[in-house]
Amino acid sequence: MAVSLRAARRIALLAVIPLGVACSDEAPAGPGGSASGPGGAGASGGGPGSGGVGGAAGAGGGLGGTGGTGGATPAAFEPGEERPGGDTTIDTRDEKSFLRPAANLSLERLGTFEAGLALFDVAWTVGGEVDRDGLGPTYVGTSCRSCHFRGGRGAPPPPGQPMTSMLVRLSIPSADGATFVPDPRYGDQIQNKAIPGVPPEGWFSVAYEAKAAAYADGTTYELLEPTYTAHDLAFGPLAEGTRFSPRVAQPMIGLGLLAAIRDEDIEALADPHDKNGDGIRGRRNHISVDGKLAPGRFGWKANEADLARQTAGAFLGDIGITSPLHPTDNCPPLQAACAAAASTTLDIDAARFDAIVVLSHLVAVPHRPEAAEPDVLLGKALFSQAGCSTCHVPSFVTGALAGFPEVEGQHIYPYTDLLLHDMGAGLADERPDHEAGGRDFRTAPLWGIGLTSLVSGHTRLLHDGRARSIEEAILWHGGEAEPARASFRAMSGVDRAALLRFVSSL
Amino acid sequence: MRLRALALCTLASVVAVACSDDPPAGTTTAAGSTGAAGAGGTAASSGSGGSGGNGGSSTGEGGGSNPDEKVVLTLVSPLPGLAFERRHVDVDVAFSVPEGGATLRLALGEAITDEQSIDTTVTTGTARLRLPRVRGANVFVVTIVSASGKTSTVEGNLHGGRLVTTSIDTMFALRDGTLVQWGGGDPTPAKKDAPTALVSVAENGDTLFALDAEGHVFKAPGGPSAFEPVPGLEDIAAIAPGGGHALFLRADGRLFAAGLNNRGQLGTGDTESHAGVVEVPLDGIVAIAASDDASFAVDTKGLVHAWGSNDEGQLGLGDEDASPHPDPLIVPNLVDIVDVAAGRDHVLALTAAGGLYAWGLGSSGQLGDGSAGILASKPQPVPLVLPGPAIALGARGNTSHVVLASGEHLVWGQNSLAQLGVGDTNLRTKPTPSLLGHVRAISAGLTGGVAVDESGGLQAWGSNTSGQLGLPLPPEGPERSSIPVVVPWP
Repeated sequence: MAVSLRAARRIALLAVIPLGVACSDEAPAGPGGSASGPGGAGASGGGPGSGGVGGAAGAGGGLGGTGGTGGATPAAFEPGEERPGGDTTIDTRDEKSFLRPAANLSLERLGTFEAGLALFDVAWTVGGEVDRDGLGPTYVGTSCRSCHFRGGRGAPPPPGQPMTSMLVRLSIPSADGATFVPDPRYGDQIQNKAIPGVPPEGWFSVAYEAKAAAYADGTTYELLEPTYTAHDLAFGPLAEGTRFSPRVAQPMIGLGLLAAIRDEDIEALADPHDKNGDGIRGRRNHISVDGKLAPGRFGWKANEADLARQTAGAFLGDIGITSPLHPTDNCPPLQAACAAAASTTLDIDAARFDAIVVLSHLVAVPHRPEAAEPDVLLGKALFSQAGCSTCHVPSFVTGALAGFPEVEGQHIYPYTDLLLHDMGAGLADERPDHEAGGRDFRTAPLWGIGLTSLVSGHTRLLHDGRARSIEEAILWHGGEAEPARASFRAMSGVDRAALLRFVSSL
Repeated sequence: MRLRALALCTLASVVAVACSDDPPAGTTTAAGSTGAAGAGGTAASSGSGGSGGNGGSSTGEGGGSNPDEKVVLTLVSPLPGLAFERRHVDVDVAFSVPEGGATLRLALGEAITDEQSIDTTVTTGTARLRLPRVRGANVFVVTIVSASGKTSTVEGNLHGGRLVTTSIDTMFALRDGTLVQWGGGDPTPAKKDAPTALVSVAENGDTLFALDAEGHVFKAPGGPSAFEPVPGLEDIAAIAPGGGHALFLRADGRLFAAGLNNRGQLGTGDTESHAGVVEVPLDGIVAIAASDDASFAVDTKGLVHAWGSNDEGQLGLGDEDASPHPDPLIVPNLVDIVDVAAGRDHVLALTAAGGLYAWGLGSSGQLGDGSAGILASKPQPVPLVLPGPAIALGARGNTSHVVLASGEHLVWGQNSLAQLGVGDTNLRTKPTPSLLGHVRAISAGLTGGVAVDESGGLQAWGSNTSGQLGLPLPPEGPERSSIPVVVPWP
């Protein structure tokens, strides 16, 4: 099924190549003489979109056919790509754009969204205030916004300081060595803070070593390789063979739209055994939900099935808030003080929990005012030619999502396939997460990425925030993404700038 | 002359059109063929047709490489007489040199404090020079020397220190090193017994601190009649009083603290009481601020260090928490900072480019990001929108203010007692022009404010319940005024 759909898209692409050539004749001349065209990569990179939008996306992909000439031609502008969230898209693009309600909400829905927003911002406490009591016993932040500040992305702390908008997951080898399990002392995540009378578990600092490298044209760059050090571990040193996975908070935009992408469209992109031989596999994670295996869709390793579980997991693991989905506080077996201080009732009731789940589904995606600029479209073509769009799949048409008619039937441009890919040894955390291996990460959605600095006050990217820019994030790609990285490294400075301009315009 | 300029403009616009049709190589040739002198050619080769036109017309007015052509130097910032507490003040100048290339020097008295070379390709532009200011009056001179030895100078002045401060019910101001006081039940401004040659005053609720021209610190716990020296401090450049503690910045960039330490606000790594003055383990500090129970310091690298209480997110770490933070931490994601100010539980930071960040308690609109109410606090810095670059800032209580490079004074935050001086008592959640116009020094926020205006006069606003406005006590005089009132110097 998956293979046949992918093959069908190929055929569609071939059919539109003449259109691409016609475009290149009319288009303004590109930067001359950049002999960086990654040739054959153009064909494999040209597959944006699922079957439902193949016709529109094909025009962009078809331009890959001009790769043989060595120059890049701007991709065609697709009507609609400037509104990447479909009808949910908002026209404001400012520092508050990652927590605005979708544009197509009813007044009643807006009310629930606003209630969710209040719960998102409120700092939970210990005792005293009935509507926000229940923090901890151990925790990472006091509120959702502690990590998702203004709905944006987390970042690593300054060297030597505790983390505030990122956390560290961990596991230890099982007794038989066959798998990895939570540490009986620390659980599966380090909570670096605790309420009075309960010991915080410890904290991690990060230090960086600069690694110099160069593009094919000789331009040098420097990447920061992180190392993590544990401090003040309350229950003894980490066990031999402990694996840990540092993860920054992810942006809140468009999550309901991602939830509404049809499973069959994601499955169609999966190619776990690389039957098409393009070097890109792509597979799904699976998590046990109510005793059955369900495909994962959210989290850095697609380790959560849906937004309600993602939200409940964050409430419990990060703030220590019990909810209908996770009614018991997170106290590992060997933490007696934590267990003694644990809640006996739910910290957040179903109505309030539902409000924040509504919020998490219905945050708008900001529009792209520069989507039709020639240099942006040039970058779009290069993005495709380099093979980036094989995994950062540009567009989908969403299906139905129970309870959220606002996100159904939307033509969206998230730039992700929601699949796991081997990202190479450089990025690997070597900590398995359900069916995701230590080198596997879910393709990160790219929409809104150009607003990171404005919204979050920093430009740190990737799962642990090691990249200081979009450029560095690309240069960290390895594994299945190694050919795309190689294409980028082989580009001329002008082409690299155009590609980065395109990604920043998202 | 006018005709010639017009002709040049026309030619320039033809060049611009040609440029867009032809390969870039054509531009230089076309500009050269207009017969414009060297300056015009330089401009055209470096920019679009539009800038080529500018180059041409300026050459026309100057009559080519006329040896009489002037070197022009203008002081852009700071405006005269402005008071600064930070140790380093940026002096911005605009220049024009006929032949390109020059050296700029900033001198304070005999000492040259900064020097910059202007590239030979540059004929006009702006430059920034650093003034490590001294205590009290700073008269500085910027000199430009062109490549051919022509010079021009411009003089500026500023005050190093805090010229005005307010307590809950009393106003204090310095004039010629003398302390003037009014309010506290007596509306008549009068000179007070105090140490001589004062350059800075700062109040923290129950203690008045004063700094003299030699860098000695004095404090008056119960009012200015009882000043006593603070031992263990010398060569101090700035004082930042918090709720129950105070920071003292030495001229060499080392930092000292005294007072309450229950929240770790002394930065000594503990929450024990410390008698007398302790040193904070930081160096290279250029600016300081203290909130009620937290402390802030900017270093020469532009980083902000913060320690003490974080219960309102005032340490800017991304979250609030109840624990004391007795070791200085770096505020994440904040760079290029040159100055900092703190109110009760909120903080402002100024960037080298004149941008402003705010964080901490936001319930009264004091962050200036458009929000107020119980969810308005921000535990990490948010950038503010200002109509122009800022050069000075202040915060007290639940209010904030900045002075723009243009001299304009903007205020925001709590205003129930007319603390903002904007003509009403409505809080402001975004920077709003005050009715003061241009100012040299301001202290505002608790129950009102006091400022030295651009002519050197005193103005006060807010509560008058103790005569703070220099007006008769109520009921004879007003309870308050939301419009600044002129207060006569004694």
